Amino acid sequence: MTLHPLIEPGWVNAILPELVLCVGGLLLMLLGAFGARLRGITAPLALIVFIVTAWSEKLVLAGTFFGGTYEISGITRIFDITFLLSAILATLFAREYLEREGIEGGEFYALLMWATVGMMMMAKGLDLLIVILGLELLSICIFVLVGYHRRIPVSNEASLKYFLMGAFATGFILYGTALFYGATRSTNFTEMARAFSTADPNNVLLSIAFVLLMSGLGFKLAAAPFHGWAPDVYQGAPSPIAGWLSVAPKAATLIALVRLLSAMLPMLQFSLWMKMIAALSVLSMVIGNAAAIAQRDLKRMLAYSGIAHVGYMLIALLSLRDDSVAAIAVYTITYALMNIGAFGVVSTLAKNQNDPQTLDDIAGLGFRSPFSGLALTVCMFSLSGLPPTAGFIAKFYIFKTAVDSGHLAIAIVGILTSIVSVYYYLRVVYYLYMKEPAEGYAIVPAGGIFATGALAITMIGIFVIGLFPTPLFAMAGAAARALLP
Amino acid sequence: MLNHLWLIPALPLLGFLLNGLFGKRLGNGFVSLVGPLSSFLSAVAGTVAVLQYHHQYPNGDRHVDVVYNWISSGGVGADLAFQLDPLSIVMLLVVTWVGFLIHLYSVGYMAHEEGYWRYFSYLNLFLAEMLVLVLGSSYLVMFVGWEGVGLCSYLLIGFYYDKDFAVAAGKKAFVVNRIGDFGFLVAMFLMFAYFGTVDFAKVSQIASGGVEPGLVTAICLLLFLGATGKSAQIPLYVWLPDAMAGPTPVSALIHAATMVTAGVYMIARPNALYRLAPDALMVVAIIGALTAIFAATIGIRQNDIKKVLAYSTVSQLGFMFIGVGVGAFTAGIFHLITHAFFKACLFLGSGSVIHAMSGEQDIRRMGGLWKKIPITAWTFLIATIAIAGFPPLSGFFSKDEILASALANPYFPDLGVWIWAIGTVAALFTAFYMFRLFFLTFGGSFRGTQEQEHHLHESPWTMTVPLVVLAAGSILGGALTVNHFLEHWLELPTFEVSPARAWLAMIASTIVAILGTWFAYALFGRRGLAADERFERRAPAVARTLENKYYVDEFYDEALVTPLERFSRFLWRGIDALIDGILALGGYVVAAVGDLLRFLQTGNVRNYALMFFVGVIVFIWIFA
Repeated sequence: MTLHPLIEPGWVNAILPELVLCVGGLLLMLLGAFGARLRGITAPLALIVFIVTAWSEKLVLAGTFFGGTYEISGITRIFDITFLLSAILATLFAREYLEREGIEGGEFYALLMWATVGMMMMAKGLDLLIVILGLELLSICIFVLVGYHRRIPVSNEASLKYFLMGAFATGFILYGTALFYGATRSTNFTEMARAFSTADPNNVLLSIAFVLLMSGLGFKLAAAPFHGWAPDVYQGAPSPIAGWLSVAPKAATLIALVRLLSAMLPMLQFSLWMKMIAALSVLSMVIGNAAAIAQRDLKRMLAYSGIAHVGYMLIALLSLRDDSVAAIAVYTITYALMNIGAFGVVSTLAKNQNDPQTLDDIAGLGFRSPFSGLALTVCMFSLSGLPPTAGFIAKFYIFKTAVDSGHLAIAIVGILTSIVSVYYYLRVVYYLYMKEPAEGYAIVPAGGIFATGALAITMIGIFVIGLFPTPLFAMAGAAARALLP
Repeated sequence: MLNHLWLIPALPLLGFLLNGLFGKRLGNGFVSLVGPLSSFLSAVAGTVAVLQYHHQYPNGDRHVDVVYNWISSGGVGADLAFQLDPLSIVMLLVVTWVGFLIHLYSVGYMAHEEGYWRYFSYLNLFLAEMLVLVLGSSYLVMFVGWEGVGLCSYLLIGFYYDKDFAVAAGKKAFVVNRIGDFGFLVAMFLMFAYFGTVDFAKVSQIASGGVEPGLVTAICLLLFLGATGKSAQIPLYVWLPDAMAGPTPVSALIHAATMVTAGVYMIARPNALYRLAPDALMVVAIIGALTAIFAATIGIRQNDIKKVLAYSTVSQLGFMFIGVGVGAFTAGIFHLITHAFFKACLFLGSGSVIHAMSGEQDIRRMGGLWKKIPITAWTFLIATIAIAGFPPLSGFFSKDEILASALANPYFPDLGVWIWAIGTVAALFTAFYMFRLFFLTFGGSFRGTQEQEHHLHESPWTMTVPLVVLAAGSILGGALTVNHFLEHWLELPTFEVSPARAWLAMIASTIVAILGTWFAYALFGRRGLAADERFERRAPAVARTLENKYYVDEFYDEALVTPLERFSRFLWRGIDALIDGILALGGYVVAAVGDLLRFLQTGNVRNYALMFFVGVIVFIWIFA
């Protein structure tokens, strides 16, 4: 083993986006300390920081840095943009939500920034330890963000639950990593790949390591059967954070998984490992969709629907080719738009946040607030995969990779369950437009210009990707070709 | 126009946007203008395109207008493209012009309804989606329209959302159609995977070039599954009768003339595939024949004017599937056209009757309307004669062509005789239930309340003009068969029917039409409702079974819906119970872990962690 000099020339350029976010977060913390007068400008400042970060992505050169532990390429850029998009949407929805709930502060956005840094590390890490480092940074920020509504018991409870379960899952991830290190003498993906190419496919130790690691990551993905926490945590978390939480960390985990699995490619051909991913996928699709039918609480329904969507995305992992990685990239961006949008509408329902937001709250909303109603309808159409929305295209790419790579059975499960899912998504539309609210009970959305802007972004994005998916898909495909061996 | 085919669906889409966004604010006058006008402009644009097409492609070749490359991945792509060929043109003309007439009719019919703007925006959207369906040049574009019309159908069935049965009916239509969509989607992915394209022409070309017959049969059967959902065939027909909860013009447009015939189009369009898979064709023909007779017998005992027509639609769609199923694609499409006229006329006529009767739909409380609403009565009579199959009205020619083809088909000649026999009996029932409906509604004396009688009135011109136009179409539609015009024009694959068989079928068709009508006259024309009562006395079990539609709904509820609901509940609620179960089963180790975790005491977290742990153990056991 040769030792690399860890700090190479050009390292600042490599982590410029991360640096911008870190410094921006610190500045916002400081601003928060200067009292109530400056609170109004924290959200716009945070938006500026996120946009500057997105712009700084252009200055970053592709390559490997820090002794072969950090890789920047086209695909990491696409995922960085997905994380930033999620953060921007969450910020837009949070602005008015936090103000209304009286809990606004600079630290909220700072935490969002640092969490984004963690996700960027997960996407770019070429070393399991870097991925875990990013994951932990992300998790700690999530603990606080979920419990950010500190005066409300459900929020505290959600935070504690996520903390306990997260610690539990991290244990599995670390133990799996340790076993991998024991078997391959490295945590670096490149070197692990070299060791795997000569490894015995029937090595039980490696298999146990894989199952442990996969289970831990399955927790972060909220994939069944490691999904138990998700409905409680989403329900308790502030709605803008619930939407963000249901998208961004999953995207980060998925791209890390793509890197990890492509290092393991020689092993995957022979072992039962792919079957575990298939099992996670099928369980997630079936349990997620079936359980969502029984929900009346909107956030719980979206939580179960999120479990199902992870199931769809995992299908693409079964065939690690450039078009399947591109399919995941398109899916995560689409999912960010439609799911954060849906949670966003829920976040505008001015109501005691300790109470559940149920279907009854949106009865007749389509007539009381046409714009919110339309936005939620578009999100629901997209989530259910009706053409010509982005959700249809995203699912189409996913199922097509499955059929192309010979996983017809799992594609059929996907199609069947997504057809079942239309039932509960359309039920939301039915409540919006075909149901009268109960007597004297009509919640009007309290969203202002920020939430309206965010909803406009999601709707435009959903239709643009739905009608013109080819450029995005081609870009992601080209980036994925560079990533895969 | 040929290079801007997208305009044809775009015009009603624009109408949808205008009505949906501004209709409520700008009032009913604005909506009454935008709604019918956008559909009229679309009809004109479509007709201009057809004329240009006729000029440019005298041989009936396919014209494709690619808007742009919609999806491309890994060398496989799909364009957003529209096409014109004779089959698309037939569908286009029926959809736009019948659609326009029904928009016009709706101005009068819906005038006093709340949510007038909502109604017209949905109706415009439906028209746009239906045009995407029939003009699309690939299965994928067709699917876009397919899903869209399903959505509009759901919205319009549930239009009177303050009525529970309307909402339930909408939901039922939606759920049942999902099963069909599954077939369509899987068929499409199979085409992508094995043919690398979903373009209509390319798929047919590749399939004809020699592929595994099993694959073609599978694709055909999956497509047909889609068709049974949308076109209400056994076993998925149950949603259509309930769909009558929607406004009557919607029943005429969506649930009689256009959307429900999309399934027939779906068989006729890939006819090259179906001819390679005679087994699939046979399934189509058998299902069609069974549906035709099954629904016709139910129609005998229904008393809601719209329900009778609904079962009649299911039955007539069955005839169309017999046509395409025996390989007589032209005959199936011909019946689709004539049916669009006479069934739209009947539904709009029933709407006019309901309008006159102040909302009454039960024919037992009607009667004697012949003199009171003469235009409605005359047009209704003409359409009834047409559907009953009397020459020389349109229904006779198209139905006869289907039955003669069944008798003469080269794919399964032995079975063909049986299908012809079943079809002919179904035609007998058709004449019978339709004239029962006619005599009970218009004949005899008035059986309603005095107040209803006081309010009886003929409908305004926006309602009667469409009726007259459609009645004229019902009379003259048969002209399409003169000199085999439609056959030459459509150029769909066909086969020779020997004169002896053609005469046999024709004579049999005429006899059953006369017989059915005569029975209906002898029973209901003379005795009125007393005939129904006698039926109940003589054969109570049969009467009750028919009245309850063979108890199919009840059967589905018990056998499918309830267990599925239980399963969903089980998966949700059962997760906790499941863990407890595993806890008990897992014995020592798991119980010990459970004890270990118990100190956390934070509600369900213990359970989640345990589920996590059990999951890991199971995965290690299986996968390591």
